[in-house]
Amino acid sequence: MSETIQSVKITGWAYRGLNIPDYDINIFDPNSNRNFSLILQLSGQGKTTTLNLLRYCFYNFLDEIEDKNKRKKEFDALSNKEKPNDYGEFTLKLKLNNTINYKITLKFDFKNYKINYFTTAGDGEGKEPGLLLPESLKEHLSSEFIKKSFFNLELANELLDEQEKETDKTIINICKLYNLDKISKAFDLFKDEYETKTGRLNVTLSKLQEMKHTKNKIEQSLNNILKKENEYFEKRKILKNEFNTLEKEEKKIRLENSEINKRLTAAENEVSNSEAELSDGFYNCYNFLKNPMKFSNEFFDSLNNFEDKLTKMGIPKSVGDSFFSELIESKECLCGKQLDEEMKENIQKNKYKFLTDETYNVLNPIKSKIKETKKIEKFLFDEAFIDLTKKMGNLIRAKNKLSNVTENIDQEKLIQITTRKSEIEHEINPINEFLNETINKRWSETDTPDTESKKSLIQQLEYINSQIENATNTVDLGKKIKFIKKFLEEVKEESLEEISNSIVEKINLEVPRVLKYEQIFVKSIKNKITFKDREGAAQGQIVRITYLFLIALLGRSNLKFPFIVDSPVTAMDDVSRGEIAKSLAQFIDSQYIAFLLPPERGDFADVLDEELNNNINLIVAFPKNKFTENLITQAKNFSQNTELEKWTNGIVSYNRDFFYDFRGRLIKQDI
Amino acid sequence: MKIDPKIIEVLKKKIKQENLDEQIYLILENWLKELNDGKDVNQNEKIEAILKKINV
Repeated sequence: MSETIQSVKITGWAYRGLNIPDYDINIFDPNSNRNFSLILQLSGQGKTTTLNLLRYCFYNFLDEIEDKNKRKKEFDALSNKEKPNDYGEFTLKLKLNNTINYKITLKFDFKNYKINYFTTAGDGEGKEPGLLLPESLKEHLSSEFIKKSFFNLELANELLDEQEKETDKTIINICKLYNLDKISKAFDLFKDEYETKTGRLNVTLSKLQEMKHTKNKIEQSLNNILKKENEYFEKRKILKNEFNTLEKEEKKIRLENSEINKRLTAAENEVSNSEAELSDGFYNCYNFLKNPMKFSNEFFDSLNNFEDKLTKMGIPKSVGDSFFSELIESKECLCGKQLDEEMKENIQKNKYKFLTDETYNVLNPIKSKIKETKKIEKFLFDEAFIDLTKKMGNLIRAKNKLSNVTENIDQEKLIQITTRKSEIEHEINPINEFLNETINKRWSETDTPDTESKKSLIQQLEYINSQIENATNTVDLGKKIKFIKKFLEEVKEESLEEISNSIVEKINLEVPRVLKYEQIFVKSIKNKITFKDREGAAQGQIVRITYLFLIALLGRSNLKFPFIVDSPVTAMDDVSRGEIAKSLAQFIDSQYIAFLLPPERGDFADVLDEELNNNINLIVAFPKNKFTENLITQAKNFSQNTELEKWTNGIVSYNRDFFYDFRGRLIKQDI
Repeated sequence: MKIDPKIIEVLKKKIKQENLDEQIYLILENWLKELNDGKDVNQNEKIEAILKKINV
């Protein structure tokens, strides 16, 4: 097909045998003027996976992963965990120039970790093996272009990293400035051919061939170094992203731990107080137990009676014997009453009932103890024992709390993070050395084409070129080509600068609206985004600036290609969300598809919906399983335009009301 | 497909600055358009035409 492709729209996609339910998502486009679609999904239900699958439809990123384990990991992430299959399928439906239907099918071979592509052009059913898109479209589909068009928030940090020069790379790619390099390269090839064909040689043919051979070796080596440089740039970017993610995670854990430390101290104090209180309670109860006569009134009375009797018998034998003998001898009692013979006989008989000295010595302390014992009401010791039980309960609760708090201190995760961070630093060091030093080493006379210095290879190439020009009498041609190449390089540099300035202007025009309460203006986007009068910005601000950057940049592309975003407004406050929605509605004239989490819906989806006069697809999709029963129940209340039974393991709803009503909160509790 | 207007702007400006023949501009503009559309035909003809117009 020779038609120039000016617009690409996604009209839907279908999952089969992957880790996402086997359902179809339809992106409706009535009158070919609906550009916006929001797909609401809970975390972990396929947002990022879908973004990756869509990316793979245009560019086989998986094929580029050389590390077998990494490749396996990527494939495993796509495979169905519940019903493992050897194969899975993802089909993307497209409409080119609003008229031509295309279908791209990816067949995932989970055994061999491969993707097989199939293309259906037009409305037919037949599939041709391969990714067979029109040439003019293929020309656009570089990995960089796809990465920027299918955007996640990692890019936000990359755009602020000077080392990666991501802004320049992105502009060069999207605005196709690299075509100037292609022209430049064509001149090199032309010269090379001309030199070979010319018959006007100043050296022997074999000498020329030797020179050409050296040139080829240098060029080959340079290409290898350039390839390695790109790979290292990519690798460093990935490692840095991982490092940043780990840093954020570490910061979060440390912050949580500092909160936990406070809670830990409070929980420890509570345990210590409960232990002291329990100890007091035990002491109190022990006191009761030590004085069992307190337990029962009957017992108390008997003991007192016993004591009373002891008191009555309270005269020791040694004293008693002489006392009673003297009493019998006397005429009258101590009370003054006359003692008759019968009374004296009784005294004589009973005086032996009194205590021995030994018994008296033992019983006397008991007697005094009984005397000291006060009568206590039953409810008092009942209360003491109830209190003891309560205090025991308090201690158990305090200990549980302490254990919960301790469990939340994620020391293990922190250790893992620190270990991985240090591994990353270790991995980045040789990459930095290569990118900063090795490839920039100055040329030296002893250098050979085996060197890894890009600078040296370029110089070697210049030298051999000049030798060949002399040998082939093409010095004039060489000069002309050098001139045109320099000219093209300057056009590229200046165009990049002009485009960058124009993007900065466009971003800054939007800042007062999108960053209403903390206006941050962009100073430059040369190599990276820098701000006026400040070093950096908060994550939410960076994300908004990134959005403005991409909106301005993608707006320059002549190809209207879908702009697809995962979690479009996380880390943004309500005002910014609303303003980003307005910017999108105003400036995006290609298709926009966003995968949204429920918390992102407010102040974004509604604003976008209003700005677009409801000309927007609002879709909800989730799996059907025991964890989503609550969602299924919700969906049943919005059965219109909701595919409740169409798919065995998932539900897709195109019901606007359900989109706004959908809540995942309960599912969390269930889990 | 259109080329980014800034590239065209700069290309024009540079052609003037370097006192180059306008023909070079036209060839380069057309070439960039072709590349944008995923085509690249008759490279040698274009190169020869450009080289003819360069005096260094």
